Amino acid sequence: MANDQRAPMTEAMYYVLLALYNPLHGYAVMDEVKKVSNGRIIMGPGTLYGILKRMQQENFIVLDELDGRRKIYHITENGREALKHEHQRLTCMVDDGKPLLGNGDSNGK
Amino acid sequence: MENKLKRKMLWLDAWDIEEQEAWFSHMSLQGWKLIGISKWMAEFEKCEPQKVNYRCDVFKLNDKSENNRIEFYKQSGWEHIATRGFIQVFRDMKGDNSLEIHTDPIEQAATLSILKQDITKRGILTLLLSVITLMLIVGAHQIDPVGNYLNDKFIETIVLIIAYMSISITMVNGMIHMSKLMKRLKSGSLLEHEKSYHRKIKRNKVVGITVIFILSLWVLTVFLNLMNSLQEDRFPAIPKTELPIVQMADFIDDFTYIDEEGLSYFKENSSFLVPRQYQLEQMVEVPGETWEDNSDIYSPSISSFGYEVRSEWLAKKFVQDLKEKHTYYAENYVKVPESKFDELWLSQGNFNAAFIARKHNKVYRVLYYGKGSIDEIIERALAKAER
Repeated sequence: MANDQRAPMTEAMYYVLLALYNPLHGYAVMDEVKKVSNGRIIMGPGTLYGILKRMQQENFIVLDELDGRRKIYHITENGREALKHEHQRLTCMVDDGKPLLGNGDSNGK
Repeated sequence: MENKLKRKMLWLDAWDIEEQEAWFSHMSLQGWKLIGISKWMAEFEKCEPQKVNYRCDVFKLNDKSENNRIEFYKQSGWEHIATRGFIQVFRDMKGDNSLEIHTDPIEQAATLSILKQDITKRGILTLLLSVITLMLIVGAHQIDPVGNYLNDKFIETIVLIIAYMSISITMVNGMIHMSKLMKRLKSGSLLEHEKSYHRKIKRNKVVGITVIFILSLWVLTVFLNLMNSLQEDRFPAIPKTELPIVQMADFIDDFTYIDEEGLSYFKENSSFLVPRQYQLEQMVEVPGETWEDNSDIYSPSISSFGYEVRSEWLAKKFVQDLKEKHTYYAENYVKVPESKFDELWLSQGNFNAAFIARKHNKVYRVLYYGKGSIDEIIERALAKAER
C-alpha cells in the first residue's frame, strides 16, 4: 500500500461519503446509507449529524441551501479523493488477505 | 385528566445520562410525561401510562452549527423536549422507534466530549476554589482560636468544609463518571437506556438534603446571633448577689461605681464548647482613700472572666490559647510553680496584674489595676472555683 498520510476512515464515514456520491438532502442520506450497504448499516440521526458536521469541517462535503429549507449536501473534490483513497486501501486489504483466505465467500466458516 | 402538572426535583446529575433516560421513561410508565426542565426541576404532565423512550444527547442548543440538528432528529421520530445545560432530552414520537439517535459508539463518544470538557473545567475550578477557601478559613481560624471556644467559630469552619467537600466530591464524581462513559463508548459498547437510577437518586437526595439542612441551620444561627447582638444590652447592670467569678466586693468592702456608661457591667454568655461564660467589668472609687502617692482618689478596676469548659481536656487547650492570645496583647504570663489551682499563670506590673487559672474544667482570667495584693485575688478565685 502506498505510504499513507490520511488516517483510515471509520466505517460510518466511508458509507456517508459513498451515499453522498450523488448530492442528497440530509435526511435522505440515512436511507441511502442503508441502501448502499445493502441494509447492513442503519445510521441514527445523531450519528449521521455528527459525521456530516465533521466532514464539513474537514471539507469533504459542502452544504448548499437551495430554497432556504431543503439543504443539499455535496461531496467535494477533496471528499471524492478521500473516498477513492479509502476504497483503494480497503481493496488492498482484501487483496492482501486473498492468498491465505481465498475469496470472500468461502472464508470465515 | 386535564393538564395536571407535577414538578419533581432533579436529583440526578447532568452527567447521569443513562439514569436520566431511564427515569423519564419510568415516569411515563407511571402516567407522567416530561414536558420541560428548569434549573433543578423536571416538569411532568399527567398522561395515559405508556412506555415511551427518552434519550439524552449532548450539544449546545444555541450553537449556529447545531441549527438543524433538532429538525434532523424530528424527521427520524425524536422530538426535542427539554434542555439542561449541554444535555438535550428527546422523546420517541413513534412509541417504538427502532432507530436509535446514536448507532455508533465512537461517534457518540465524540459528542460527549464537550460535556466532559465542561465538567472537567468546572471540576478543576471548584477544586481550586475549595482549596483556596479552605486555606483561608483554616488561616482565619488560627488567628483567633479563642473564638472557637467562646463564639462557636469552629462550627462555621466545619460547615464550610462540609459544603466545599461535598461540592468538590460531586464534581470529581462527575469527572470520573464521564471518563467511564467515554471509555465504554470508545471500547465499542453503546450506552444503556434502562439503567437503574434508584440508588443514585437516593444517595444524591441524602447528601443534598443533609448539606442544605446543615447550611440553612448555620445561616439561621448566624442570623439569630446577629439579631441577638443587635438587641442585647451592651452594659447590663451588675447584680447585687454574689457572682460566680471574682468581684471587687470580694476584697474591698466599701466602694462606689464611677458613674460613666460602659465602665462597669456584668455579662453572661454561652457557647457549645464553653456553656457558661461570665464577664465582669468594675471601675470604682474608694471613698476616703488615695493612691500611694496621694495624687488622687484611689480608683481600682477589675476585669474578671470565668469559663466553664465542657471538659477538662478542652479546658487545658483553652488556657493555652487564651494565654497565647493575651500574651500577644502585652500581658506576659509566667507559670506559678506551686498553686492550689491545676495551673496558674501570672503576669505582673507595678499597679496592674493579670492571671489565668484553671481548676478542673473551670478557667478564670482576671486583670486587676490597684494597690491591693494579687495573691489575695487569686485566693478569692480559688474559693469560687472550689465552690
